Amino acid sequence: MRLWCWPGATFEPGRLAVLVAPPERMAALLELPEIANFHTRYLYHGLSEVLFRVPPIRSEHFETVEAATLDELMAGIRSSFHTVLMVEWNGALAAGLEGEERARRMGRLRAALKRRAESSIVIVYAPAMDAALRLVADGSDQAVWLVPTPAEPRPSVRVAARATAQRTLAELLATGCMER
Amino acid sequence: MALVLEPSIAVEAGRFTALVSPPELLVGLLLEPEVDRFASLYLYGVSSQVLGRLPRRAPRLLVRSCMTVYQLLTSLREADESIVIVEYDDGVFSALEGEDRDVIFAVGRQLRELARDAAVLLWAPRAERGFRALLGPADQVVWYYDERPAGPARRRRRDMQATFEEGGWGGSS
Repeated sequence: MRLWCWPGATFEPGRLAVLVAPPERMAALLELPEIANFHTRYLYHGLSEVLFRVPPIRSEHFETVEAATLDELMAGIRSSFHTVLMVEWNGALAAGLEGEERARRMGRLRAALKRRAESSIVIVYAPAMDAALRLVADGSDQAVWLVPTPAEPRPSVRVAARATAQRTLAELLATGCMER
Repeated sequence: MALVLEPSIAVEAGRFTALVSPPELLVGLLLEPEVDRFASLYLYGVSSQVLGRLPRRAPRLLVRSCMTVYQLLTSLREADESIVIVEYDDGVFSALEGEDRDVIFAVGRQLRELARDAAVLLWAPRAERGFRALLGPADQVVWYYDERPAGPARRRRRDMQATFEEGGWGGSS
């Protein structure tokens, strides 16, 4: 089983993937029919940036679990038997962790995710990379970044008309609109 | 040594990065001072979409054209530079069919192998089929995609279809 995310970016069992993308991309992933058809666990902390963007997934195979702390997140990962495990990373989970302590705790999280990824699809999602998540991403099988490039602002009709109506100083002087 | 794409995205030694972006982004990356400071190799196919956009005072790059996949594979095996940038050319890969397509995976493995000692970047303006096959072994994949909303969907031609009876042809024979 594979989850198609983007042309060329698919998630499959046996690989731990870190996805850094706008929440809409992750929401699109949750709307795939596979999510309702296979056992899926979605772990998040606090207010999810993704779940409110998708219509309620009414499937007995889909469950959401809120993890208030990093330990609860670890427990949620370890107790998972699901085919698809999704973790919405929130930087607040690693708040207060510094230096060696952060490296040790995030190393444990990475190891737990890697163990789950041996038999299921594991995706760690975040809207932006942070120092703690970087420790997980460095040990993951693949980190996928989807970066939207903002569309160039289109000139309004008035601005475009003004631009075409521009004339040089010499032209204005020649037409007599301006005096020397 | 790191070539910074975004504040949190970097092309670093020991990592194989695949990048899909407009050519201007790669031009900007090539103009970073690290490219001048470290030995850098730039491999491209039949023609390059990037090299022509570099300013007159271009960075010091060893540039090599690879007309076939086998030339690319050989260049990658011989590379000992700190930064290796490969511009994907679909013309080189699209000719491969059947069992020959396995060589694409060999290129992917070679890029991964090379990334042990160097910063490896595989770039393409679009994700063609051959490019997607190379993404498997990549440590990080970075996509810059256009956020512009899609235009209004065209009315499908199928809606316009009519049966013979509807078109006035039924029962005339």
